[in-house]
Amino acid sequence: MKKLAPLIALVIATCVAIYVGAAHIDNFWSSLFSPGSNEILWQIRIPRVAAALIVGASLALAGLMAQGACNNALAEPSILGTTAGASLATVLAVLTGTVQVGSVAAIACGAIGALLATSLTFKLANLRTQLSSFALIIVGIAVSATITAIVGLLSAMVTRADARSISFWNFGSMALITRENLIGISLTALVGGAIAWKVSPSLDRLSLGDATAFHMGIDVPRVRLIALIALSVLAGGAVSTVGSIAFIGLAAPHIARFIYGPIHRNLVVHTAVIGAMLVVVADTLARTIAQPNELPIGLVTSLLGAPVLIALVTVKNNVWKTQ
Amino acid sequence: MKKLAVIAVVLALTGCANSQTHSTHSISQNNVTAISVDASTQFSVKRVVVLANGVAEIMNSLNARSIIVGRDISSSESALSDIPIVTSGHQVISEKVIGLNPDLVIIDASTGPKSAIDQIKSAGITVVQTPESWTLADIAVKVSAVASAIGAPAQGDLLNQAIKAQIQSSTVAKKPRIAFLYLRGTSSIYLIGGPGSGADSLISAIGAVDVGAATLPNPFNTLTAETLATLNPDIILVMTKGLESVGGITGLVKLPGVAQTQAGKNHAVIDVDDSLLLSFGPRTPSLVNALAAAVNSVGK
Repeated sequence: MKKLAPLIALVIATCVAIYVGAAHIDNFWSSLFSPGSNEILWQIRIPRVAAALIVGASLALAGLMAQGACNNALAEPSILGTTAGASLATVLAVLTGTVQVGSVAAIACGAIGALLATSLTFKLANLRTQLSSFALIIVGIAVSATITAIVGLLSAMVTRADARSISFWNFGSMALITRENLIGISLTALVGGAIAWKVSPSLDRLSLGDATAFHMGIDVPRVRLIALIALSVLAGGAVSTVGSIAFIGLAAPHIARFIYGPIHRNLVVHTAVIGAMLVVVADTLARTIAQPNELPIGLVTSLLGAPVLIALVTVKNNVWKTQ
Repeated sequence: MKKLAVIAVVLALTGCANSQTHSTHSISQNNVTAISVDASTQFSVKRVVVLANGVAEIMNSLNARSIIVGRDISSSESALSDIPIVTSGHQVISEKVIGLNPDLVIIDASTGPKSAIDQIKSAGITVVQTPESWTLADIAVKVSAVASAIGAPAQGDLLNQAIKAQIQSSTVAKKPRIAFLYLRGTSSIYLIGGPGSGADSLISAIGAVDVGAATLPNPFNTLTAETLATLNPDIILVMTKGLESVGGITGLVKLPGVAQTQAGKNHAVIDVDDSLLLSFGPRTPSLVNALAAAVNSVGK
């Protein structure tokens, strides 16, 4: 029952998210089973809940890939510079007039930017010595801060609305999601999820350390590169469409490890479920608790994810040591 | 048979496209005129820096343009274009103001920072705070305050009488439901005007219904898409730059929430020059008439 709890919570959260909102839906149940019958339900609420599910699963899986590839509990897309890279590439592409935020082309740019920024972090962290966890995190924070500052400068200097604001790229927003946006993020979630599923057994061996993994026949650089590609595709798709949503990439994999243990193939499924659940709950709160106003979703995910993570670490602080 | 099907689809699509009305309407500064008094008079001051929203326009209408030596960015009449702008209104730099050697600086409640205003006062310059105007009724109070500040109260009375005579009840044919949206595309949120937004005064003056003022608590409210769709306005009123910030009419009607309203479906959108809409000064009576005409045009 404990192991099914996140899935049950996800189903309940999704049902509640579809049911509640600023608008009262007349004949809710008949509208729900009659696609297109109610505009608010079918054009606003359901696409938004679907986006929350996909984005949550994507960011959570991106976090899992980051932690697995780096063999580091602190690694997550925003610390490795991945989300900042996705933001910068998307903003640059929008400013050059080649893409629009939310389009498939913007997602491709976001994924490429995410991969380049993450690779830069790895390259810089690996310059002098073997890749150390400490160097990776410090360099990642520095790369992330630098790229975020460039995004901020571009947002301040260029007043083009379609490039979005710095608050969008820092805190995220699901407010502008439309049905058309679902295609792109679904594709990246599927592709990234499939790569994550494929590479996950190798990440189990990588978690024993690079040397041990090598002697077990693992091509360590190749496995790490594949995991980083999955990370970039997943984070790039989500970030280029809804901005950075805090804490999901860190909290969801840790919660999943706490409940399900360290086997990555299990974690791929369960991390996605937990991430989707966290974002659906956060987004439902963001759009309902201060009606008719809407809160930034990034604030809610931090308020929601951090206490859960602290509570889990307090109860069981050796989640990573079990490996 | 296949060709017939293709033709049918094309005709259907064309029909859909044609059934969508494109009834946008723009009100720019060129569409309105300012009321002014021509009688020349003596003023009690010779060099005035205006840092209060819309006050430079009122001084221009009081025939006092010659004594303005610096202004804020809010007064956008072409007649004032050669007067140097010393601040955007919220970031007063005291050195710039003092350097113009004024004998009077006019501010309002939103002028700041306070430290800069204190420095101007410390330099021995008279600083007068005039009231802000957010309704049609506030215009006369503001005009009188400005006229008194420059020592021309009689001129102020003349202008007030002229404005009062021109604020007619320009009512619209039906009672369309209008929502005033404050858009800034970059922030990914939009605000809807409620009671006290300023737009509510203009909308009620033409006999229309401000759906935000009727249902929401604050002058400006951040909205969920669902709330706007539920309010379902017939017409959306926006500022011109705000409309540009979301990609024009095409971008606006794609926004979640806007797309589901009657206004979004019919492209029933009126945009008004940013510095004109909430100026509440000598151009407002003309704006009310232009707004009524626009609503009648869009609502057809």
